[in-house]
Amino acid sequence: MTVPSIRPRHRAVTYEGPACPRCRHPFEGDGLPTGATVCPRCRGAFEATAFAPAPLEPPRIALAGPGDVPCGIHEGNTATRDCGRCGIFLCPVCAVGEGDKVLCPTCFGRLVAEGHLGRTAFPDYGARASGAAALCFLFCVPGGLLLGPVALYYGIQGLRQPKESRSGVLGPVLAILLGAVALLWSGFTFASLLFWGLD
Amino acid sequence: MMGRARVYETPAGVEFDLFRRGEILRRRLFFDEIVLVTYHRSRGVLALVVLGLLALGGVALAVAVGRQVLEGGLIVLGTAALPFLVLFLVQLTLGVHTVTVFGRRTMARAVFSWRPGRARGLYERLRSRVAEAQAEAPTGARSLW
Repeated sequence: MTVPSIRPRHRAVTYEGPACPRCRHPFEGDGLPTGATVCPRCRGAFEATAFAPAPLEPPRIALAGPGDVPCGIHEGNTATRDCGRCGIFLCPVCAVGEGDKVLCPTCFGRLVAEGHLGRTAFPDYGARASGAAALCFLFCVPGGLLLGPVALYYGIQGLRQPKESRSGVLGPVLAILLGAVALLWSGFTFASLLFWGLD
Repeated sequence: MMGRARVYETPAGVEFDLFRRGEILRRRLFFDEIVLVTYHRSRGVLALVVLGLLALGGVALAVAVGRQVLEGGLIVLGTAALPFLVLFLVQLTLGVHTVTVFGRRTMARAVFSWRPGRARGLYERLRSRVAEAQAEAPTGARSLW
């Protein structure tokens, strides 16, 4: 059985908490700034509003006794749930999700890798189509033969993309029109050269 | 980290769709996990440089054409230089307005180039919604699960 690899699609960037919005220098000392503030490092001004969310408390776990069902991952902990996908017993430390959507970390990672859980990155076909169309406009002949189909492909993909994960409709539509014109114009120019020559 | 962003408000938090180099990255921040919201204005140096160079190129082209035919030079000035010059001045006047939201686990940033009112509106809206949500939340510790 092949196990799908869990490979992040983006470079991991460590988030180290609130920082100056201009230079990203982390705030030092006690508390976060509120009101009109000047960063001590870059001297840039900004407005800030700090909040104090309720602190998170660690999950309550119980050690597994003789009659308790132990967690499949942490043998010393009593299991309180089971994975909704593979059925492994889980303690509160390793249960991911809440309600009826509890998963073990392995199943959660696999579903994320396969794209079955909420995705956080989508291809922006609208921007790609607009870029290809702009290049078509600049390098219509001879670029239209190559860039025209690219603009058409990305434009069609942009229109087919679900509404909640696309950047707009105007870009793909214009890209399709421009790509088609560039392809036809470039093709016509090449056909003319091929059949009638430079004369 | 400049770029367009689309911001959605949900009952529990705010979602940012960040448009980055042909991809849309979605960031979700829950109101009860937000620790800091900031708003600042900057010049947008990159846009100013690009628009300035385009305007200069247009002016140079207009001068070159105008030496031969004066009417042609004026037409080139109006079509190739003036639009970029106007955009340059608008950019210089309005600047770039940025709203940054810092949560416990992640952050997101929305940049508004031409609509400062929207940036200010988003900042005020986020301030009030986060304050409401954190006032409604029970005092004391909140469970991770």
